[in-house]
Amino acid sequence: MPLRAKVEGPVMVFEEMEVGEEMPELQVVCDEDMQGRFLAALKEENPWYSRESPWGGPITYHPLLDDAPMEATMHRYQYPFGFVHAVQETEFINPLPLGKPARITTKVMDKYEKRGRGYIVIESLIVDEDGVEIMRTRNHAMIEDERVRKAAGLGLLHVPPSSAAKYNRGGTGEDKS
Amino acid sequence: MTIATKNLEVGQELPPVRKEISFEDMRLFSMWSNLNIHTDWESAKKAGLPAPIAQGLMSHAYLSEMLTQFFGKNWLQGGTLSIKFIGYTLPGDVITTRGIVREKVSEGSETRLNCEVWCESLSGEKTVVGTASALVN
Repeated sequence: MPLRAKVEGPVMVFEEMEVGEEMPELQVVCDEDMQGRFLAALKEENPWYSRESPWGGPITYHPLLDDAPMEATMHRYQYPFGFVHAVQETEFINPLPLGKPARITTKVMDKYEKRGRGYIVIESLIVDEDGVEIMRTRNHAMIEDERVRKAAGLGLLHVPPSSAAKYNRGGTGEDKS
Repeated sequence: MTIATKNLEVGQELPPVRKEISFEDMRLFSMWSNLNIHTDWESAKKAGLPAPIAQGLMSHAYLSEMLTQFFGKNWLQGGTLSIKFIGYTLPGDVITTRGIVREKVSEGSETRLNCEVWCESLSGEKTVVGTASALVN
């Protein structure tokens, strides 16, 4: 999604994430240029996305919106090691005309541990400027706490104060990068 | 092109979509990201990977392309897709999407087809597995 955040917020830590936590609301307008690049990357030639669709003119190619949950989360948190994307669940509700503004609301829906690793479930609802629901998309992302812990221990990352004792065992926790 | 109708039988296979994925495709798909395991050889090596890996959402898009061809406009108005990423895709890999109708369910006066879907490599190894459904007329 062409909104990639540059935030100075806290590093995301599994224990700190709360179910129900809302991420910043995002506004998005997908234009022909962005769409063209994604269509090329995915070698998608369906004319619905470039010329005519059953709904009239071209519609937004949904892969531009699929990573909305991660995008919104990265507007609040730093996540230096990227997400490990485990599961994707998408409900297509209505097509979005290309160029029509939409807004994205995002919330942490669940968190769980599996084989000793923490996962968060983040859901975004995408609604157009008239209030028409477009898509609901949900990611299960594995949080690489071990790498965060190691980097924090080396003093390479600043982590939330409430987790500092756990993560800063070997260092000061000061951001020295 | 819509293929699915309520007269289809359980066991019907969906026409596959086949994609060869280049490193350039991967970079273009991740164009708004910083250098990372999807776009940069050095980052991938540091993460212990043999090469940059394609974003899982590329496979999500390939499956959706197959499902759009199969269900037509009903895919983008009421379709659902739930997938798990179980393997990774490297530059030069060829991925084929596949699907099979597993169930027909009445929803009022309409019929919903529930499908098993997956992506597989040339060797037949599955990289993504999941389910999809949409209404048919």
